[in-house]
Amino acid sequence: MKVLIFTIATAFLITACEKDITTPPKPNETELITTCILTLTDSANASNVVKATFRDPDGEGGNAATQFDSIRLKANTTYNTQIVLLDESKSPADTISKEILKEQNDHQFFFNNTTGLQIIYADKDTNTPSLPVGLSTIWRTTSPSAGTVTVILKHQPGTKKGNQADGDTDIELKYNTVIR
Amino acid sequence: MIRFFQWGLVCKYVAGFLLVLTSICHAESKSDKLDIYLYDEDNHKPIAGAKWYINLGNNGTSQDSGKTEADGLIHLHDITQSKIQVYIVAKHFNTIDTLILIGDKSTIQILMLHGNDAAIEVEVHADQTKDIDAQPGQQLSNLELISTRSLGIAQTLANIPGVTLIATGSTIAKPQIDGLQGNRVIILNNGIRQEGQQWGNEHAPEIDPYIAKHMKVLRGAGAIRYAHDAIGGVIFVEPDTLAFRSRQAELNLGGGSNNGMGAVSLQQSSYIMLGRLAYRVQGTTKRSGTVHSPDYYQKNTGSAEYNGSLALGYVEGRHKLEFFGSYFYTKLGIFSASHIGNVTDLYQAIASDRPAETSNFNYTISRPYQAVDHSLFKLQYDYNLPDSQWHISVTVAHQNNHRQEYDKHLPRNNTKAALNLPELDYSIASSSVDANLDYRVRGWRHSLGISTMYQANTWSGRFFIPNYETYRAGIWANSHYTKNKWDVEAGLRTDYRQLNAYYYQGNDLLQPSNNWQNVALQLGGKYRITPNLHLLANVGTAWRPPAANELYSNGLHHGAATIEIGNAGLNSEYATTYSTGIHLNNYYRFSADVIASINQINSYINLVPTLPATLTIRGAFPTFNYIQQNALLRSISGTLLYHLSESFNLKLNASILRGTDRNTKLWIAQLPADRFSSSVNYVLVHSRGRLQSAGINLSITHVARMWRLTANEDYSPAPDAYTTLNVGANALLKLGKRSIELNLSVDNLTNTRYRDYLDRFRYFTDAMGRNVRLNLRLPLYN
Repeated sequence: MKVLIFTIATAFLITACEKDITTPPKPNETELITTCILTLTDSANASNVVKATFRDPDGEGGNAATQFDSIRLKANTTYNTQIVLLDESKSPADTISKEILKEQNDHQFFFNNTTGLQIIYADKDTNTPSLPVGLSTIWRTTSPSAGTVTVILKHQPGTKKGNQADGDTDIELKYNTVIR
Repeated sequence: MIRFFQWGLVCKYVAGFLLVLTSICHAESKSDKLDIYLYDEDNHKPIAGAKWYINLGNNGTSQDSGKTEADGLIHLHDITQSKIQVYIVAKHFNTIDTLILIGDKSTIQILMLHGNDAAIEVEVHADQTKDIDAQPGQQLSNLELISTRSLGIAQTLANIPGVTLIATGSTIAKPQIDGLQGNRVIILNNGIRQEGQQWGNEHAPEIDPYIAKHMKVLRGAGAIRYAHDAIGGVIFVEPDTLAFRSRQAELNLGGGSNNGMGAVSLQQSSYIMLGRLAYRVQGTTKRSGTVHSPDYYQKNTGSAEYNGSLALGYVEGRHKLEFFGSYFYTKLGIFSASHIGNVTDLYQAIASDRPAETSNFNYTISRPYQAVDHSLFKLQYDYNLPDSQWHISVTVAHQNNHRQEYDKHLPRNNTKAALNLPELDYSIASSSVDANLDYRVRGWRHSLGISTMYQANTWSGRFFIPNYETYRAGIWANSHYTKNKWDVEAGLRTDYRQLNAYYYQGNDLLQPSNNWQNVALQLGGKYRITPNLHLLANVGTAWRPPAANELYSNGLHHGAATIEIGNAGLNSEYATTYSTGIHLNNYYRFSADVIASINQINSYINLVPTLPATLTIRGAFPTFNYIQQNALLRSISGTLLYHLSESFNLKLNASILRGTDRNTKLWIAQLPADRFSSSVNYVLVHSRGRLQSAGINLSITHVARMWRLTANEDYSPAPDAYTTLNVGANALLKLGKRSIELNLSVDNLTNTRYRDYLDRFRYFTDAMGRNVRLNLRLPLYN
């Protein structure tokens, strides 16, 4: 009988150990992309720079995005476009795009644009066959028009073959775009 | 004073009655005579002067009663039924009310215990219901339990009309009582309130169905003896009582053809000191592979489950101490194609007939999956005061629940992805102390109880619900009175609850605290017009404060591809259930159990979509907010049985529910569609050789289309109505001294393609196709 009570008491004590509930983890200590900055530089005129930023400092859920710019481009112009991804919830901000470049065999940007805009991939990964990553691209505009460019970043570990349907979506941003 | 027709017994009586007609009985090569000897549990002396009352089975007119002589004998003859109801009252002893299955034994012993009604031991397999309730409810029959438990606990409970499933694919299901689930349904696992992450629709109850000897459902508000917040009802999962004077072991096997399911469950019970110290050990292991829909395999739908339990009981005079510990572990694969990126992917998945990902059959469980473990420890002390009218019970319990959800979506960073950590990780620990006092006198049973609980929840991974702690305390009183044709019950309860949450908003640590206090009550009665025709009516109230997820959840629910935003301003729900029922037992060849109820829920908390969708860096996500409505649920459900002959009967089950918002008059979503099933059953009346009993049945289940939906409320319209055909056969075979129970059934015989409204994976896949299942129960010794 004593043994029984002792066993039971021990069982209760063992299970009574708990994590401290009054010190919760800070959310978003895990990885996050808060900011996506497109920098478009006119290939004929380096002083003509267009920036379009999406910024949601606390990530998905919580507060709404604080900034979501339209892309305003000139007609019949060629732009060298760079994408920078940041995690601004950290201090200093983490440049996620460097990580993407490092793991370029597993990531790819896709651009779904309405007519009037042509996007050419400029970078290539080290895969065989080599496939674009999309961090630096060339955008060629034609006649004045308005529409959207959807920037999609897919994570395709081991399955990257240039197919947009594969993998997980890390970014899907539909930028309003105006060509004048 | 004859309390034979109290509600608990009636439930059992009906269950037992259906059992006799439709299915297995434990013994059919029965003798028509039975001698029952009553002995004192303590000194093993015969009990003289005990009043007994016996119902000889399904024919309500064969009743017998009397008093025991000095030898403690009850002699019965001309028994035509395979089950009899026994009710015995003896001064200084606890009342016995039980169901005895007539086997080939012509003599049995019943040991009567001084005062303690939890420890009745009958040396034959016997049902036992210790609760007396005027609240409508129903117990599962032995056949229903044995034939469906390999599918899971919720699937087993769904045999009861009015209980439906809210499912997440073929492997995850929660029971829903009259359209209410989650925190509104209390599950009492061996008397302990099951505390896990029950708020989530894709969080199935963490209970091994093989542990259960009895399962019972009380419907609607008013179960004040057990909880103040059981707006939908209470589910009882009860293991067998400990055997202090016998040894037994049994093996249960279950198999399913569709997903290669195999389950093995072993149980052994015995005593260490005769009549004093007894134990029961039990363990279950279950594996299943990829689920097959009629046209394809549902990729990654395998599961694994490992459970075990230990019960110890010690009796000394008027004291009884019982320990119960159980462990449950499951790893559940989630259908791959259901984990989607954002709303664009969801609409793409809905638009296609066939899932984007299918696979071959295998047992592999990869991402996405859930891993859940639950441990429960309970210590219960019972004491009977010397005059045996008083009974005290104190229970201390502790539970730990650990839930990990692994998303399909791995971390973007390869190094982090390689760690293979869960994206959602919650731990919840609950400790409770309950005490109650029962006093029985001249047809009355007065009960008084207190109940307290402390609960703490912590998380890691991605934020969805905060850390929180809950304190609960309640006090209740209940009286039950039985006289002649009447049963009356009334109860009152008051509870206090505090919830403190801890979470960061930006860099600020918030520590909101909430307090709630309210009252719940119950009033019920039953009137027996004749022994075969009873009417019952009940009114009960219940209140439920908002749960932590309803108040504070904020984030992306990956599996559901939704953003759910809590509402810190929510009030408690307050429900009033009015119900009335009729019980008919072989009345002009008809038997029936029908319950109609109205559940009026003020401040009903509901998760509703809000426009526009939330824009995130990953695209748009449908957004849901918690609102409060004044809900009105009306339901009618029941069973109707017509006996064509001794061997043949026709049975009809129906569940119909309507739910509306009283202010807007709009339909409330996520309620079950109308459901009907009818079956024709054949029972072998006399045993033949080794075949002690047998039965076959053919049943059709029809589920109507859920047309009561408000426009733009759901991603896709409700699926079409569907009809499935099922066949079953069961037999009890005698092999030497043992009787093997065999059960073979085919679900969805015609391999029909269908999708159910309450299955969230209906967006992605057809439900399970044909499934041939075999269940076997083999006593190893007894």
